[in-house]
Amino acid sequence: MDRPNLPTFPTRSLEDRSRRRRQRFTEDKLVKIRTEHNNVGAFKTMLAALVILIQLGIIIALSFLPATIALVWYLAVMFVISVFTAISVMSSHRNTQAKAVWVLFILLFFFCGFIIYFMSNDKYMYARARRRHREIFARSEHFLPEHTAVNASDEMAHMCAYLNSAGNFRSYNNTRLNYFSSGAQLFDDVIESLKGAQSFVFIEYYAVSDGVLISRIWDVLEEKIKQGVDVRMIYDDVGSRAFSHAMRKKMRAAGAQVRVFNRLLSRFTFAMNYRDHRKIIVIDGKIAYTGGSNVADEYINEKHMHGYWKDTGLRIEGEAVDSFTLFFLRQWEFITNKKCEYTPYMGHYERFSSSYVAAPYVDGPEYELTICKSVFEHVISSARERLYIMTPYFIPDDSVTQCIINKALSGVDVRIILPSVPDKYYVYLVTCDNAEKLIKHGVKIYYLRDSFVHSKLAINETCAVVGTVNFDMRSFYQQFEDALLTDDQNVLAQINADFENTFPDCDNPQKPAKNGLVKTVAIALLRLVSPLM
Amino acid sequence: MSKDYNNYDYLSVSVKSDQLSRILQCYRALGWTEITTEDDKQYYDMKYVRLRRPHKIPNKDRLQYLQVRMERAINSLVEITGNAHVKSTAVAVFIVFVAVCFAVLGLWLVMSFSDVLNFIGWICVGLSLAGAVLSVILCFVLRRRECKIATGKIIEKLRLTQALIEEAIELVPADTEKSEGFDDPAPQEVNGQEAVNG
Repeated sequence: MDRPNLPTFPTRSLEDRSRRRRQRFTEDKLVKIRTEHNNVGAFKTMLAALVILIQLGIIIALSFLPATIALVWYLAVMFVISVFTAISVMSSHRNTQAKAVWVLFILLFFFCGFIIYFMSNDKYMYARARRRHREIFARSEHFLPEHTAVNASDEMAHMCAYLNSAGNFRSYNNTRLNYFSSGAQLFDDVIESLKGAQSFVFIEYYAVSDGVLISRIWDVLEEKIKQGVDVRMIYDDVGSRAFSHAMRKKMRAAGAQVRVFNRLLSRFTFAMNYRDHRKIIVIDGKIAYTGGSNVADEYINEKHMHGYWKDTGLRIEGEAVDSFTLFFLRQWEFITNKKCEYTPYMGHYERFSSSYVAAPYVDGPEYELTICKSVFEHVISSARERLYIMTPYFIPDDSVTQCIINKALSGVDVRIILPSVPDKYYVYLVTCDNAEKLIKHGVKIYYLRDSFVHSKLAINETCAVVGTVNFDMRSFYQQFEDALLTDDQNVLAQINADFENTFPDCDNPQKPAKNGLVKTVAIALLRLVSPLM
Repeated sequence: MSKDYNNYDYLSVSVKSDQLSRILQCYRALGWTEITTEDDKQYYDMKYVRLRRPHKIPNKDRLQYLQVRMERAINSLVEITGNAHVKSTAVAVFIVFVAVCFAVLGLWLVMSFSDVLNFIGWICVGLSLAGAVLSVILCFVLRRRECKIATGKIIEKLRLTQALIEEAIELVPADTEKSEGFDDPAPQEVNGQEAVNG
């Protein structure tokens, strides 16, 4: 192929300038590519602002009344409520950092802080939902036969035992796994597998967006529905704001069952904070997929929202698929509020012979323990030679951070790959600050050039976690997540190769970046609320 | 125009008209083939180009990565040239502002008083003139330095683009479909210094 001429940069002539005045808009970029915008953050901020404004309105109104004693009493009552709320926060089972932030917030903004706290507290706002989850768990438990992986190493056996005790999650041997180092590869394989679907297809995704990818998938699914395949889809209302009503209508009209998780507007509570961040596809109970990629064009780099989008995925075949079927059906039963038949969908997996262990698990507000965080801690603490992590956000709590530091100090090769292009700038500031503080302890930080890393991976020399779990508080404490823990040496080799291929494309700072005054103040303020991010 | 999503990936980009041929060559090196080119509906100085590439092109992930890096490198050229003289301009504006303040103060003192304050007024006027001269010299020196830095950055970005495209050429199979009837002008020597000054 011929060597191309490189572009020179544009020179703006006088003729250009006069023409610009007369004609339409001009664009400063040489190349414009398709992007989209996020409005949900603004919506949530507006709601919180509204609550504060109402309180302020009452206070201002009272201050103008002749009887100022009413204002004093009102403020006193607010303050007493705030103090009691702060005591209640301190005695709760939240993580310590989050407690500190909440207490500070409630006492500082005593006229509205407690309202926001109670509105966002899962104990009050998610209690009914949690009861329903437990009923569904109890009813569906026996549909999944007992499975305990054999031939597991001591550490894997330990982790599997934890998963079994914490959430009744099974661990399997006879499972075949295949790792994909990009969203494009993952969805190409998904589409090929969908073409072979015969009885049912379950899809549960945080983000579904109109575009090329959903069109490609829908082309296959539409055909399958005509052949009698049962197609069900769960999408999250916040993540899937770009999933158009027209597309959903089209899918429903064709016979697909499409359900939304935690609708944002119709039942409006702060429980909207609990999002279904899971990414699961189950085909005929034979193949399952999970990983970081959502069903949206940016995940396969059809759109470039934040540079190159680095993502990963996992294909699961064999015994472990049943767990993913169960995870989906439980969520389906929760959303539809109708008792689900589990038996027809279980036990369809193909028999493979493999001695490696695969342990799928989920986490969310329905579980009391922080399962995803604990598994990460297990993976970190069991590292002996190396620990590689790939995550879009790095806002772990003190225990995870200390675990990572201890490993680096004890001579383990700890490397963390992060994005160099942020999707949320305020989160990215804290992420970089958290990560670069680890450099002095021997942790190597890598920023993938011109890219947004969306993969959620942790690997040591004996096991790996692939799933939807970010290294942040939202994933650890609030969102519905899924992941798979494995010691499959083939998958470990694939993941390792992906890391090794990615390192050369990364910048590897040797010392923390020096921040200006404004940035330092911004980080300090963001750090205050980082336990809630 | 119907699209065959099963066999092809499609890309639509708006490209500066005067850079069209060069940028299209970069895309071609990444395996894309132009289908149509038309005037952009929103921006008068851009062309709207539709391209396509075989969906199952080998090394697709790497090509996507190289493409994004190339696009960002090319767009950063505009940012570099646009921001080239920000510092010198800010310094000059600040010095001129201070000089004007001194001049106003000095003239007021000269016209209103006749003793020591009158003398101080003349000093202020002198300082303002010195400030004006200083701002011109400083601005000139800073601009030269900024040009040098910007040129360095531009050359670095162009080298990066070159390297990315060369890697892409190695990755794209020779038999990937090519568009027809597209004559490219000969490559031009890029001189960052001249361009920034221009």
